[in-house]
Amino acid sequence: MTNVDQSMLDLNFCRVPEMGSAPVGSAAETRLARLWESAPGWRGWLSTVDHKTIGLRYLVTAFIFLLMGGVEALIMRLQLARPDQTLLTPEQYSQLFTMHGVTMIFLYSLPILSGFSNYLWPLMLGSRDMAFPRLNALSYWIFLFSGIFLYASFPLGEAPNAGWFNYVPFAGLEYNTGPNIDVYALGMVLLGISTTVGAVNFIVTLFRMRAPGMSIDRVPILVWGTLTASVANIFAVPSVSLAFFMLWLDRQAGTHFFDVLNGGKPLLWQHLFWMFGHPWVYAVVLPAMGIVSDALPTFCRRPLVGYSAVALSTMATMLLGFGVWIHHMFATGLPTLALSFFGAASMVISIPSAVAVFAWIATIWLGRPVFTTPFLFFAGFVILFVIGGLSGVMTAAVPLDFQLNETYFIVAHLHYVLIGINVFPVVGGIYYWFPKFFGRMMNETLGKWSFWVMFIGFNLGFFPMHLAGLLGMPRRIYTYAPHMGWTAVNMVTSVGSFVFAAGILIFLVNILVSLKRGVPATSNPWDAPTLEWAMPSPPPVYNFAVIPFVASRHPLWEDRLDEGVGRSSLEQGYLLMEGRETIGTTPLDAKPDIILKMPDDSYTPFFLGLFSALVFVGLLLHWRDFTVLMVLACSLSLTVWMWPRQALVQRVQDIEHDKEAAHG
Amino acid sequence: MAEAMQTAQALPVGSEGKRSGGWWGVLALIVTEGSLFGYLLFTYFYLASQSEQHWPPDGLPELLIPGVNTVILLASSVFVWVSERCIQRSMLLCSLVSMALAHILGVCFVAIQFNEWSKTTYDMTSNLYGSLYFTITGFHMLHVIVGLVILMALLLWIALGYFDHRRYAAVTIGGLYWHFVDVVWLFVFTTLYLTPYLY
Amino acid sequence: MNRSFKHDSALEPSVPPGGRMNAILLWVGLFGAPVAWIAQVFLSEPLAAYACYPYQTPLSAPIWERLPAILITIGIACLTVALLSGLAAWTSWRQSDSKSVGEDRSRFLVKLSAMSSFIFIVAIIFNICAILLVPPCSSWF
Repeated sequence: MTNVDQSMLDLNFCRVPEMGSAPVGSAAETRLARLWESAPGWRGWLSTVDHKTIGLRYLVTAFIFLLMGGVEALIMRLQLARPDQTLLTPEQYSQLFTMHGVTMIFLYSLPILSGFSNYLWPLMLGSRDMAFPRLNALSYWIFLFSGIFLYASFPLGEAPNAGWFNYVPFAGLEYNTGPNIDVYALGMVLLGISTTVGAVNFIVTLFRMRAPGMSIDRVPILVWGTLTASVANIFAVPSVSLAFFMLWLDRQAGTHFFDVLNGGKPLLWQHLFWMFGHPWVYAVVLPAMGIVSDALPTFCRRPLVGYSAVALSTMATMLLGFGVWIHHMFATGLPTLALSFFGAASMVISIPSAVAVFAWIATIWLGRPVFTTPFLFFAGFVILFVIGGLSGVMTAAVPLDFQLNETYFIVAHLHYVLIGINVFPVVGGIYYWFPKFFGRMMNETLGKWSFWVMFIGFNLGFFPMHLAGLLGMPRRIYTYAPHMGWTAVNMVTSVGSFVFAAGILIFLVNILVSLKRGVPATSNPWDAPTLEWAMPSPPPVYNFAVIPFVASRHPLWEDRLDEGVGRSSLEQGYLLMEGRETIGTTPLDAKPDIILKMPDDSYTPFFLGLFSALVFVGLLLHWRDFTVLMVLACSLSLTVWMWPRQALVQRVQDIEHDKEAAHG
Repeated sequence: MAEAMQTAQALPVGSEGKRSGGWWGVLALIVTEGSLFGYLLFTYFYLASQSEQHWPPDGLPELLIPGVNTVILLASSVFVWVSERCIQRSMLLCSLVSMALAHILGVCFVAIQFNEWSKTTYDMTSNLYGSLYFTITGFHMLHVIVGLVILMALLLWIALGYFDHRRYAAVTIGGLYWHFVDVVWLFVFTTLYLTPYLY
Repeated sequence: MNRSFKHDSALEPSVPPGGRMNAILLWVGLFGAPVAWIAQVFLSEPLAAYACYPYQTPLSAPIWERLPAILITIGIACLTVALLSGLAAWTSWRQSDSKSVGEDRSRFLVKLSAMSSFIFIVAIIFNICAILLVPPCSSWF
C-alpha cells in the first residue's frame, strides 16, 4: 500500500490548514479578495454565486413583490371603501385578491426572509459562503422566473382567480376553463423547486459551515428560525407541489383526483394544501421571530433572556404546526372528535408562542432599552404578535370558528399575524442591518416617522376588520349593500390601509435618502454581539479574512459578559486561500472536519433556472416539442454542473497527470 | 483560542465521501423526495378508503412479474453498492463492471414496468384507480430514469478514471440516490400490489 | 489514508462525556415525546374521521362500537412513551446538574429535551381530554 502512504503526503487531498492573520491591505488579504471577486459587468452579474449579492437580490425582488401586492390591496380597499362601488368587476376583484394572497404569501414573505438568511447566515456563522453557492444562485433565479411566470397572465386579465388556497371544484376545469388556474398550478410547482433547493442549502449550511467552536448552543436565534423553517419546508413543500400537479393533471390530462363524479374528493385538495399551508405559515414567521430575537437584545443592551427556551419554542411551534392543518377545515363537516384533536393541538401552540413572547418582554424589562427605530419595530412586533395570537387562540376553538370562519375576523387575524410577525420584523431588520448591507446608517427621524405611521395605519386598517367579521361580513365579496351596517368599519379600514401605505412610502424614501446621504457606518454601529458585526461595513467579498474561532454565544460582548471560559479569536484563524476555500465543521460541536473547496462563479445556475422555467412555459402552452427540448437543455446544464471537477477535488485524474509531468 | 480546539490537525480537502457537502445535500433531497412519495401514498389510501366501488376495480393485481421486477431492482442496488466498495479499494475494473450491471438491471426494470403498463386495460383517464396507479408508478418511473442517467454518468466517470480510493464522493452520493429510488419502490409495491390483498 | 478518517466522519462522536447511556437518554428525551404525539395524532385522526364518516354520508354513531376505548388506549400508550421520555430528560437533567461547568453543548441539549418533553406531554393530555369530553360522531350543529 505504498500508494496510500504517498497520497497521505499529497497536499491536494489532505493538509493542515495554515493559521495566521490577514489584516486589510496585507498580501494575504489582497489575494483573498482576488480569489472571491466576481467578474465585472454583466458577466459577473449573471454568474455570481456570492451569498451577499444573492441575499440582496432576494430582498429587493421580494420587496418589489410586497409593493405589488400592496398596490393590489389598495385597489381593493378603494373598491370596498363605500357600499355598492363599481370600480372593479367581480372577476377583476377575484383576480386581485387571489394575486394579492399569492404575492404576499409565496412571493414576498418567505423569499424576503431567505434574503436575510442568505445574506446573514455565513456572516453570523463565520463562513465564507453558504454550503452550495451555485444552488443558492439557482434558487434565486427560479424564484424570480416563477414570480414572472405567476404574473405573466395578469396583464391579459387571466390571472389566478380562485383565492390563494384555490379550492376545488371551483378551481377545476368545470368552473374555471381559462388558463388562470393552470398558470397558478404550474407556477407553484416551479416556485416549490426554488423553495426546496433553498431549504436544502440552509440545512446543510447550518450543520456543516459553522466557524470552529460555534457549537449548536451558540448559533444565533435567526439561524434556529430559518433552520426550523427550512426543515419544515422540505417536508411540507412536496405536498402542495403534488396537489397543484394533480390539479393540473385533472385539468389537462383528464385524471380524476378531485373529480367528484368519478370518486375523487375535493377534501383531498384541502388536506394536501393545508398539510403544506399551515407549516408554511410558521415557516414565514419563525425566521422573522428570529430576527427579533437576535436584534432586540442589541437594543436592550443585554443577551436574550432564555436562549434555550426560545430555540426550543421555535422548533416545538414548527413541529406542532404540522399537526394543526385541519383547523383550516373545521367547517367542512368532518366528525366532531376528529376536529377536536386539531383544536387541541392549535391551543397547545400557544405555549411555545407565549414562551417566546415572555422571553422578549423579559429582555426589554431587564435591559436598558435604546429607543431607536429598529427597537420600535421589534417592540411593535411583540404587541401585534400578542393581538394576532389571541385571535388565533379564539379561532382554535371549533364552535367559535364556525361563527368566524370565512368572515373578516379571519382576515384581520391573518393580517395581524403576517404583517405583525413578518413585515414589522422585516422592516425593523432592514433598519438594523442596512449599515452592514450598504455601509451607511439610515435616517432616524424618517425612521421614527415611518414606524409610527405604519403602526397607527396598520391598527387603524386591520383592527376594525375584527368588528366587520363579528358583524358578519364575509371575506372575498367584491361589494356590499349600504344597509348591512358595514359601511363605517370599511371606510375606517380603507383609510387605515392608505395610512399604512404612506408609512411604507416614508420607509422607501428613507432608503433612497440614506443610500445617498446616510452617515457612513462603522463595522459595528449598534455595538451588537454577533459575528456579522466583526467585519467592515459593507463586508468584503470573502467575508472573513481568517476563519474565526468562536468561544461563546456573543463573540463581540465577551469582555463585558464574561461568558464561558475562553475568548473567541477573530484576528487569528485559518487562512485557507488555495483557491476559494472555507472550513467544514462537525454538526453538533463544530470541530474542524474538512477543508471545503467552494465553486467559482458559474452561468449554469442561471441557465438551469431559465430552462426549467421554460419547461413550465412549454407545459402551460402545450408546446410538446419545446418542452422536451427544454427538459434536455436542463439535463445538459445539470450534467455540466455536476461534472466532477479537479479544482474542487471531486476527482483524482489530473493530479496523476501533473505528477507524471513533474516526474518526467 | 477557543477551548482546547485541535487546530494543527490535518484535514481532508474537497469532496471527501460523507464529509462532502453533496452527501448532506442528497440526504436532504431524499427527505423531501421521500415526503413526496409519502403524500402520494397518502392520496392513494385516502381515496381508496372512501371508495364505495370494488377496489381495485379490475380485481386483484398480478404479483409474479412485479415481484420479479422488484428483485431485479434490488439486485441493481446491490451492484451499485459493490461498485462503491470496489472503488474504495481502487479496483477500477470491478467497480466499472458492477456499475454496468447495476445499470443494465435498472434498464430491465424500466422495460418490464413499461410492459406492465401496456398490459393494463385502463389508463390514467379511465377511472380513479387508473389515475392513482399511473401517477404513482409514473412518479417512481421518473425517479428511476433520473437514477439511470446518474448511473450512466458514474459509469462514464469511472471509465474515465476520475475516481480511486482517495476521491469517489460522486459514486457514494449517486449510489445513495439509487438506493433511495429502490427503497421507495418497496413502499410503492407494497401499497399498490400487496395491500389490495388485505381487504 | 482515507481510511484514517473515514469511519468517524459524518457520524460525529455525539456521545457526551458519560458514555453511550447518557447519549441514549438524551436522544430519547429530545425526540420521544414529539414522536409519541405524532403517533397519537396520526393514528387517532384517521380512525376518528373514518369511523363517523366512512363514505358519502356522516353517521350518528361510529362504525366500530368501541372507538372511544380504542382511542383512549392509543392515547394512554402514547402518553406512557412520552412520560418515559420525560423521565429520560429528567434523569439527564439531574446528571448534567451534577457535572462540572464547561459542558455547554450537552447542557443545552438537556434543557431542550426537558422542555420538548413537557410541551408534548401536555399536547397528548389535551388530545386525551378531547376523547373524554367530545362525543365521537355528534354533529356540531
